[in-house]
Amino acid sequence: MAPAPASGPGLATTVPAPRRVAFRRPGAAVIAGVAVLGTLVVIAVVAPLLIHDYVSINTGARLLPPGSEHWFGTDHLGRDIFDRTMVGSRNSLVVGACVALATTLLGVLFGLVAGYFRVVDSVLMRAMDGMMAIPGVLLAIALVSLLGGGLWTVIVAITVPEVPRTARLVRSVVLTLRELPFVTAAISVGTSTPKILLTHILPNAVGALTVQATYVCASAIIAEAVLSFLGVGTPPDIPSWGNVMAVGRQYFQLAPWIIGFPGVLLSVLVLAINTLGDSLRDRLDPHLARRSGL
Amino acid sequence: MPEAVAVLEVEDVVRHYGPPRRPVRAVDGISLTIRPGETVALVGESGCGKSTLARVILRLEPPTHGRIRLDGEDITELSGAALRDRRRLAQMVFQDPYASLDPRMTVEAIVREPLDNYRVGAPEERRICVAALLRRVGLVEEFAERFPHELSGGQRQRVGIARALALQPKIIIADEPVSALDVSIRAQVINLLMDIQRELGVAMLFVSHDIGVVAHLSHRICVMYLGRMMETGPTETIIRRPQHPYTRALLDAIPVSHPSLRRPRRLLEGTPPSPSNPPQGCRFHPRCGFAQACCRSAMPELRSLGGGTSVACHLAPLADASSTQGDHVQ
Repeated sequence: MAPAPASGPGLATTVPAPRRVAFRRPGAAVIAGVAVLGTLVVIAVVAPLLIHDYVSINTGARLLPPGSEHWFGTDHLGRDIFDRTMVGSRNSLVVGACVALATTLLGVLFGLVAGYFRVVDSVLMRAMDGMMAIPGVLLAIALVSLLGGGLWTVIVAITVPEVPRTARLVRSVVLTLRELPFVTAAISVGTSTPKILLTHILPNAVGALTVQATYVCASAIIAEAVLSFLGVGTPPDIPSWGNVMAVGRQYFQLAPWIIGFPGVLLSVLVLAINTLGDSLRDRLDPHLARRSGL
Repeated sequence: MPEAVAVLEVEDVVRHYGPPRRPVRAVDGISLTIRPGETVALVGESGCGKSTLARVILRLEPPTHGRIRLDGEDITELSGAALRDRRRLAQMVFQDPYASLDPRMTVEAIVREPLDNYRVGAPEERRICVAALLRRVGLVEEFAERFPHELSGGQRQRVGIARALALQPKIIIADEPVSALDVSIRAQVINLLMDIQRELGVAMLFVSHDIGVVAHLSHRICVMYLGRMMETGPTETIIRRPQHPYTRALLDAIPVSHPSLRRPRRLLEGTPPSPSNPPQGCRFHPRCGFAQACCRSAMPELRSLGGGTSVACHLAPLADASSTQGDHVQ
């Protein structure tokens, strides 16, 4: 029964090697994703400063194919597709970024509250379920016709149907996390509920949230294109990839370049964002990071 | 031990889950008193309600019935700020050292959290306090900047112990603190807990399924089965002269270190019945080798046998109670 000698300092003094010894080199996909996104962001910032005339109509230069004069060709009103696409990249990126940000903020707010407080949960989540039952595009069309056209209207109209999905995701993550012993431990050392939500639950949900935010960003850019395509997106004096493509739809057989160039850029951008989201998730997750030696 | 206010008094605590008509009786009427500086072990098989009792004591879940007094004050009805204020007197060491530390916090942030919550000392002093706590549990200061996933299981459990000590509690509730650890690490962590217990004079409720482990460190042992207390008494008495057949079976289950030490063992068979539908009479009778007719009809109450021992068994004291069982527990 005699206890062993005191376990003073010295028994567990093997300090682990300094963390982040080897920084994991980003893969080719990540580098490509960063390059694409970076280039498009630069274009989005610079293009509107350099290109001023992207709305004037030139009937003498209708539906010209791509050439040295008009790199991406012209549309049915003789407007330069290159100019409109470059300027439009700003609006598409703004829509994507704003929707992702707004959706994440609202989704986190609703999700945290619903996941942690049982009473609010049933009310809030039924409301979210109700919204999810309405097709997103339909809801967006209704909102745009209610609020009138414009860039911010489009952002709101796309954000609203996206929120329930993010809220649901956050709620499910919170439901999993709140049962973990480290949350119980936080309660037992006297941490208040708001502090638990902000310092224990939220940081551990960041991985899932980041992926969701990039997904929302990508789908918002597409949604904006869809709305423009349907004629309820941004007005023609605010070019976006969506409304350039909407014009191209009517002349697809005559002038495929109108829909082709913004379409390719849209696909490349969405692919880049999704790639980055995936790799970001891997890096933000401490368990995956450990496995890969981050 | 001088008579003082009990650190912890648990009075007829019941915790039921599910529908009131046919509840799962996880804890079904447990009473328990722990005096300052005393280590009490709570022993029983998995699912006997010992972890639930630990959670109820900390008011991590509400008791269905009964009273809990912490350092003389009834905390059964407390909530919000009042409960948080009392909670610092009782701190917990968790079973799973992997899940009980936030993977996104550094060791310093984890140990510091309770100090920040109760505003112990000035913010600059807390850093020094964390370093002292880490040293106390045998970790060098360099650990403060590490993340839990960079530590071994034993090191993590030391961090968990440092966190539990941060508020200088009067009682530590250790819920199977070593069962998730490698056997080679267990002794170190148990010795650490014993040292701390002696040095700081803190009381401890040590929950374990392994009666062999607690024999080394506890002053008293409480044996639980299916939510009920089967036997309680001083460790020495329980180990040497176990009165309840269930206690004897637990002692028989301790492996011996050499084949020559093997003794006739009466091992339990099967699993405990469902706590949602406990057997009539004594809850242990379906698995008891001594069961009589009375065991099947009447539930035995916990009754004192003198010397601080109480047993819930119709047949106690057993005729051959002074067996040689305990000789193997070293």
